[in-house]
Amino acid sequence: MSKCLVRNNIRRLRFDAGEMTQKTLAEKTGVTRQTIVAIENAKYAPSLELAFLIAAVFDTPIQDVFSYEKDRK
Amino acid sequence: MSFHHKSIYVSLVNTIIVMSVYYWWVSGRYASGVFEGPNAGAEVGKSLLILIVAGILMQIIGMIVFNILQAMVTGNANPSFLVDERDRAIELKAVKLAYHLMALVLLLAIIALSLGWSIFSVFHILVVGSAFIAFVEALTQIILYRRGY
Repeated sequence: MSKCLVRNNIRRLRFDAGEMTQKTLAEKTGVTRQTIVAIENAKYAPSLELAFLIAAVFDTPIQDVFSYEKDRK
Repeated sequence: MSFHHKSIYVSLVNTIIVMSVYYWWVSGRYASGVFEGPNAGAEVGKSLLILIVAGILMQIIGMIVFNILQAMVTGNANPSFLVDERDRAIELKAVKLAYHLMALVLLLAIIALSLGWSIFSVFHILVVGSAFIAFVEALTQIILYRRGY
């Protein structure tokens, strides 16, 4: 299985947003809490649409939420 | 656990129950010689139709019972039925694997047919193969959910 190379700052952004819960973020973006957990733990790379939705919830540019990390051998 | 994740466990249990009952019933009919003679093809067809209808009904009943039990245990009368992109991506991976396995099962059935096996045997290679594939598909999804994706 290919390794997920999309990193994110969702945990920090949730903290900055008054310790927003994963459930709240999931409800605001229309996905399950488990999907937010998987994204936050870099297990799952979200679609571009969901990535924009998450960035919009935190009112921040998408590049401040997600970054692409090249595979280090 | 999302609705889609839970429904996989229902499918898994359902597949095991339906296939066990079906093989218990069919083995009895096989022993009594129903699948021999000129009406063998029609009898195999009838058995498979019953299996398909029973499988669909059991899946519907299973989901209803599961949701009632879940509402009773969690106290949440309005569970979420949300299926999101990760659920669909996990399902797609499992379905892709299932299609590859189905091609193998079809090949096995064609080989059996070319070797002169009976219609009963060839159809039951397909049925057992399909049940095995449904089992692998469900297990694949469970593993992917446990890993995150």
